[in-house]
Amino acid sequence: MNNAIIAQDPDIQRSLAPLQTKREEAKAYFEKHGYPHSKLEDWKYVPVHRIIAPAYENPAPDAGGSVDRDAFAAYPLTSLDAWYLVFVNGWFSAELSQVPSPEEGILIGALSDEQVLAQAAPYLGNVATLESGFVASNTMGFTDGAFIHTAAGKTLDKPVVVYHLTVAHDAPLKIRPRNLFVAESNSSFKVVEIFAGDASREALTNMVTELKAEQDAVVDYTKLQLETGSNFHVGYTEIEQHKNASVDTHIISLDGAFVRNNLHFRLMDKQCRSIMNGLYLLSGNQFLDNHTRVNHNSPECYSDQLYKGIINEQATAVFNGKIFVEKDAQKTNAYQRNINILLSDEATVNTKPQLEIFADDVRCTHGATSGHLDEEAVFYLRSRGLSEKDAKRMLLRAYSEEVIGKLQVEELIAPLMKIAAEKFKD
Amino acid sequence: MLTIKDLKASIEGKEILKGISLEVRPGEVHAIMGPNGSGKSTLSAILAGREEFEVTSGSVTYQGQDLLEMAPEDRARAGIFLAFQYPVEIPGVSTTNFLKTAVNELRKARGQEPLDAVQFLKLMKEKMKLVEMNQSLLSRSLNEGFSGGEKKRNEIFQMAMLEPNLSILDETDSGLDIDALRLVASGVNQLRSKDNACILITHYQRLLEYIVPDYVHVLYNGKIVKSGDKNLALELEAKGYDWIKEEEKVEA
Ligand SMILES: Nc1ncnc2c1ncn2[C@@H]1O[C@H](COP(=O)(O)OP(=O)(O)O)[C@@H](O)[C@H]1O
Repeated sequence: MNNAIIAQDPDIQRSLAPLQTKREEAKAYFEKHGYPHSKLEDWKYVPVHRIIAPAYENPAPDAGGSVDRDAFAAYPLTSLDAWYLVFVNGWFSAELSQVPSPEEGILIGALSDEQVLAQAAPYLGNVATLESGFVASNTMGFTDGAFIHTAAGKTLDKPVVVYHLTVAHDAPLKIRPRNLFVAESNSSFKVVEIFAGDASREALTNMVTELKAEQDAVVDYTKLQLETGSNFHVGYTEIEQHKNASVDTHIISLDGAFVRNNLHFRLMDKQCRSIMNGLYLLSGNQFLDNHTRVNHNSPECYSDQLYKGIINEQATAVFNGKIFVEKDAQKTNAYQRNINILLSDEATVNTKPQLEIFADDVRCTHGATSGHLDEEAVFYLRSRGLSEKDAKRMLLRAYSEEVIGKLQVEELIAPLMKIAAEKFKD
Repeated sequence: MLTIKDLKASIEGKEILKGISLEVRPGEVHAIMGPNGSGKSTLSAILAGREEFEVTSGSVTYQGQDLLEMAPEDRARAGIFLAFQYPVEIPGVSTTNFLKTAVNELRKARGQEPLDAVQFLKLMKEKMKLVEMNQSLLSRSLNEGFSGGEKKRNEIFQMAMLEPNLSILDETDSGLDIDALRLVASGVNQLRSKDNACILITHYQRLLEYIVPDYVHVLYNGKIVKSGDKNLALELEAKGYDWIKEEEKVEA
């Protein structure tokens, strides 16, 4: 069965030796394990069978040119003051992209460009470990993706938007983007991954992003999920931080039929700062699972996580946040909060914080709550003349704003608040 | 303006209000006093439109309408304002935030044009003076980290903004020091007019030194056991509530 899946993969030639090795390893992993299943603790609540069942086709490289500028402009957030790397069904579109002119020490490009790939190859597959069939499948058969590299001391003038557009109407599609972001010492950039598009047929996006922040680097990473229709998404964002590096992440999921996000941090040296800011707004039959993990491998690091969700109708949310504090990681500060608001009796949430602490001099707190909207607050606002609907909308807005308001790419805040508000229109 | 007739209410099968009747006309200030547990908060909750209490008999009519049939927002739009005893904290929502919607909802109900941002700000500035509110407090999350006095002043500020016909102040004096009490009272006094009425619910006589009522009613054990003018409050202050309790025992 696993071999049958592998056999369907198109043979994307990677001339570079390091990539061939990674690919062979991934193949071996997949042959042995295949996709994960719900007997595995980390996949307990996830109906993986639902998303791997369709007879997926693999988009060909010409998918990149299948959407023109006008069509692209109809999707959200396509005209920010930012650099754009646009991928359509996993393949780069030069027409829709806009990258800065080459500059010493800064490289922004697509992996389908052989020259870019050559620069990226030494880093690829070093941060993401083969820990599930999805990572393996991506490593074996990724199509294209973004590469950002800033040399020591460099700062990007504008954020980079990596726009993943899915358009699936003729056949079910399997889309495997692979991104690699490397900030060398004391360099900095902001990157926003946007997943958007529409799918009347099933589309499975299996993405892997690797981010390496070297000493004193400062990176701001945002992932926005705005896909509509039968979009399935399994994503791995794998982050490695070195001494005194600072990484902020914002994982904001406003749409998508099925989402599994994995966000992993490995703190390799002292004084790292890692922020995890998450928001998910679910309705209908949406399924969303956020798995996060922070490996505090070194002393004196700080991690802070706030994930908030609103779950309406028959939607299901899962949150699992792991914090591992290794024996040597003394003076760790690790905080985690997950807050859920259930708006209907049929909505479900499973939340599980998981702390494993092997050091003795640490400060760690965690808390998870699931409840309904504050009825007292609703009553208060109604007694001032607001309709029940307006009162609830105002409270949900404020609740979402706590996360969206922290976005460092500030231009995103207003449009996202608007998209969020749309979700609670009635 | 407001007519309460033989109002009985209970919660979880326990009768708390045992037949209250009260008539409030425009321009009047009524004080409702009584010892703890007598039903004061229950009465104000029912007037505000809380649903946890069951009205078992009687009626409440406000400007000719059946008040008990009205949703809380419709009561507000019809000109009723309740100053909460324990105003909630609402993270992420500032007073300015919701008050603009509130003011315009009320204006709409009165057939007035909505205020634009500039007009709204002007109105705010004017009313802020009344209770010495400052702008920064109004821009912060509602009641989060507010002192007791700030919370109550914010309630009176909102009252000023919404210009109600009937205001109900639920233990607005509790937990206030004398300066805050003066500010709150002066705000309320400045809003008094011949068209507006006010119900003050309080345990202590103290507030009534600053807001002089036309009528004082004593609520005890779910019933109004005594009514009078402001002198009744002084008498209560001097004799304490035990005096009422004793009288009730004798009558029972
Ligand atoms: N939610 C409730 N459940 C049961 N009893 C209640 C509830 N709320 C109030 N009561 C009872 O009703 C009576 C009147 O309470 P309350 O209206 O708070 O009086 P006051 O405001 O005069 O102190 C008290 O005996 C109180 O215990």
